[in-house]
Amino acid sequence: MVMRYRPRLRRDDPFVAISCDNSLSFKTGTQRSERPVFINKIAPCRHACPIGIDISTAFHLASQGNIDGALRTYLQDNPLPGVCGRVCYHPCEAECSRGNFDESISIRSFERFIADHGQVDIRGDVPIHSRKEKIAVIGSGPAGLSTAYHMARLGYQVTIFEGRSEIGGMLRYGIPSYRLPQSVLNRDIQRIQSLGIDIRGNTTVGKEVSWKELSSFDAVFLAVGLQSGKILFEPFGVDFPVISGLEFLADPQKWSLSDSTQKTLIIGGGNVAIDVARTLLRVRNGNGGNITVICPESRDQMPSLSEEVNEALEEGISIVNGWAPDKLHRKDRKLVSLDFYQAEVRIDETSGTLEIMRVGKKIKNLAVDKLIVAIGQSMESDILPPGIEVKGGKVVVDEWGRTSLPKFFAGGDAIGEKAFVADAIASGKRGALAISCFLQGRDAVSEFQAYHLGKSHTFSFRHFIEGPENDSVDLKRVVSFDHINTLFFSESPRNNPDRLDPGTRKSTFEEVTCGLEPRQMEEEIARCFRCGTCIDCENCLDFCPDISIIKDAGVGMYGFDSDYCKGCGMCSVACPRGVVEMVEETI
Amino acid sequence: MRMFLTGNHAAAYGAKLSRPQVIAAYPITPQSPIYEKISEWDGQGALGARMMRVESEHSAMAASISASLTGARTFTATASQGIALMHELLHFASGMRVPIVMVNVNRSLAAPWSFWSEQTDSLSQRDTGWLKFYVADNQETLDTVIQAFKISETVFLPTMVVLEAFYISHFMEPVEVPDQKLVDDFLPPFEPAFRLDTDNPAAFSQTVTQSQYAQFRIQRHQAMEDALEVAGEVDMEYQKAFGRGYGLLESYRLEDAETVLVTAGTIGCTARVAIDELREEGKKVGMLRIRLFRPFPKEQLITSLRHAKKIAVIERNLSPGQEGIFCEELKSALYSRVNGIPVCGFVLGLGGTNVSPLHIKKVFAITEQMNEAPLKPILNIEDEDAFGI
Ligand SMILES: Cc1cc2nc3c(=O)[nH]c(=O)nc-3n(C[C@H](O)[C@H](O)[C@H](O)COP(=O)(O)OP(=O)(O)OC[C@H]3O[C@@H](n4cnc5c(N)ncnc54)[C@H](O)[C@@H]3O)c2cc1C
Ligand code: SF4
Ligand code: SF4
Repeated sequence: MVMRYRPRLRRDDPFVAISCDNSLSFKTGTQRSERPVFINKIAPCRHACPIGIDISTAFHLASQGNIDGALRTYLQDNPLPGVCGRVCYHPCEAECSRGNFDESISIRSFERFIADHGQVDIRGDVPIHSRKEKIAVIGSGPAGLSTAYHMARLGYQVTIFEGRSEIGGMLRYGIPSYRLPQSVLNRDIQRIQSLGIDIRGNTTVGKEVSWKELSSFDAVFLAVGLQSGKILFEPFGVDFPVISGLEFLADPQKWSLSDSTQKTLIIGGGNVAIDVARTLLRVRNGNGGNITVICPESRDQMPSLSEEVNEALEEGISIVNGWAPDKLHRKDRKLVSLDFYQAEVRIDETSGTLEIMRVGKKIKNLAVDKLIVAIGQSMESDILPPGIEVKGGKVVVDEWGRTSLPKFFAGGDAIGEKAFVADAIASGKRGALAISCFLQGRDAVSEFQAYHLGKSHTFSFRHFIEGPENDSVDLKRVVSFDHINTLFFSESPRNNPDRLDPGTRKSTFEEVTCGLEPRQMEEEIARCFRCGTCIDCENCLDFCPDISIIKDAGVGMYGFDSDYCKGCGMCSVACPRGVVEMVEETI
Repeated sequence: MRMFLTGNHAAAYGAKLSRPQVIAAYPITPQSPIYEKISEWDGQGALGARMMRVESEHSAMAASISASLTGARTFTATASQGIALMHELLHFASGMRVPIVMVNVNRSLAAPWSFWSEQTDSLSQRDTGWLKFYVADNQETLDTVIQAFKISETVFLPTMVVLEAFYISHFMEPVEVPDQKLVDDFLPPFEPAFRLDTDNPAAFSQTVTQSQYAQFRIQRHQAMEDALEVAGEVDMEYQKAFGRGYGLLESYRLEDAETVLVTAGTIGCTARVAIDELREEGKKVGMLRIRLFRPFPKEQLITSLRHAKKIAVIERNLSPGQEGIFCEELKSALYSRVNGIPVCGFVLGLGGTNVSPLHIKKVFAITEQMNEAPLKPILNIEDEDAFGI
């Protein structure tokens, strides 16, 4: 039987919805009430770094095998990556997002790694001596080196005056070489010097050169630090030297302390005290039986970094907590013993000052042959230009580092910055911005506002040099852990550097902490989320249900096709690192 | 060949004889024996189709739609919660005009849990655009499955063949299983109008404009209307080839009947016995069994019932807050053409309880007493006094 039925439409009429074309005619963009914004932001590590180093970008470059690029990124802000990669107190790691997930990234080890393995000649990037203005920098510690470096990058002619024979300030004369090898310091300094900076050692301003002679310079940056160690008791006679920790560290061999039978007390609970004890241990060839560090603070309150304290304990240094010095006893002209009273310390959180309180009536009497005091540093009054305003032993400056004398700026320990290398570098960097604005008649306040990072006290030097054009970073926004889509990451343990075995290391000045092996570093690099930094992972592109992500939307960033993007927000969820966010559609 | 088969196995034979190429299904009581029988053939290498053991009914229907789009003849079977889970894809199937044939074994829907016969599972899918046959016995099950492929593949709409749990699914009856050759002659291979073709990529069921959407909906409705004629023709053709036909409606002793019972499914078989007995007593009674529920054969219904004085409807389903769905549909069909015939709706056998000849006789007795049709469904016929009989 022949079927009479035919579909009412001809067989080739589409009674089924079929499209061999595409659905571009449906401009789904009209449905949008929110739209994605693609913008890089500041990673929390960068926000926490006093120098404001663009860590996430450096990690990204390193992940592509570009160690040189990573180093170049560091050098945008920090002239001393080899130094910081070893001795920085790494506040960046405390804020690392990864810390909320498993363990923070070994950021300091990364800095050391790229400084040791990267090869960068920055001379080509810098308009050396392109400006006629001359800048004098007094002091070659981290603050002075930082100002000199950044001023040179801006094209100024820089001269550093340094009273000592060697360059580096406390990096050279304070921090012991088992923590910071001289060769590493020299390498960083040579790079700085390669920018055509004139360095004059053995030239104390005020002695070899008069302050007046500096009048030919257009600006002066004072980075004189705090050079005298505070002393507790007045020394008297040759048999009773009270040595300051700073004096000892500047030349450990000079003090005839190598006899390990001499009972040596080190008073103080900071890094200097620990450095003194460990240096003395090495001077005594690893024999630490008679070396004791004693301080009023409890173990937890000690201002020195806990890793330093632990290493000292491992090496056999004894540390006595909760006792403050009281009276000394001598016989004939010789020191015999010291009385200590039992103490408690209250630390004022805001000012950082401590109050030492006596508890009970107990007295501890310790026999002593030699006494080293490491309770802080102070300003030498004669190293400053006459007439400059000083208060509480610190040079008085405004927020741009301007002192009471015209053309004179100051930074670092001398102005009471936090006494750390990174903070000294940061103040030098800020000083460079301020001096160049001053010389060019630009407003430092608005320049700093434009380039400062989030709520921190630092700014992006690259942006200051290059200006804001064509940039895809919002310097004001910090990505928090909430913005990280952790579904894209799996847990993996942090790689910590190896240390020399305590038995071996305590009798040598060899560097205690080793660098990470390339394989370990590779793992650390892979662990970094690269918070707020677009790395072309293309997740947004893959997940967009409307195929509306545009890969090259200018300034190296992604964009969206406003004709079709429905504003579903999938891209912002799919971005693992908080680069994409949704904002209300305004049109 | 004459075989002694359950309704489920009759369905399986009907499917196998139709030479499907893909069967995607998920087992569920009381449909499982269909699934098992087909699996058994598959295991023996005797199926001749690709059997897909999917993870849910939703997937079963999704797979069936895709298979059918490629041009494969596709069969599936389900019941109760299974068809409920398929719901959104049932709309897809008809919207994409794929001629899938599916057996649904009527089973009560939860809650509470129950496994017996009830029609709400398939009636809930009334507006999904599927053709729906309600069959009365095992032979009709087998025959209707074969017919369904032919109808579906002509109008490009899917068809559901509905049989009641246990009354048909697990009941054994002698069934005439036709020769494969005969079925092959009746049912030529499937030739789709459009197919999924990797060499000519296309998107099916893409987003369309508002007016395009309206047009597709109207076309589907028109195809459904056309299916009425096609189903009638296919049944006649089947009668010629196999010697068995059913019509879209079954009329039983209707010629001079004054009180007519309208029903669907197995109650129709039972009713024949009751009607024979009542006729013997001289009562002018007859029956009309609705076999095709979608498209709804309105015109045939009106013609068949024009001369009835009173109508009773018995059915195993209840639309809460309204009445039995067959009764409601019937009234709506009659309303436009025939006035004044009281229609009494009886909802009996819910949850699979038996509707016996005795019950049916009572229904006739109650209906004859009625001068005005009740507005509410009659749910209980035990209390005879209430009806004055
Ligand atoms: C023992 C020790 C260990 C430390 N360890 C750490 C550490 O592990 N991590 C950390 O972050 N920080 C550490 N610090 C602190 C850190 O070294 C200092 O905060 C930092 O060096 C300060 O830098 P600066 O440039 O302000 O001063 P300095 O480093 O003190 O440099 C000042 C320089 O100016 C020179 N100078 C002074 N007056 C004149 C003048 N009139 N003419 C010419 N030259 C002059 C001095 O000779 C000196 O070289 C440590 C400090 C000490 C003492
Ligand atoms: S300088 Fe210090 S704070 Fe900054 S990145 Fe290096 S280790 Fe971290
Ligand atoms: S995960 Fe990487 S980018 Fe993010 S805070 Fe840590 S080091 Fe910085």
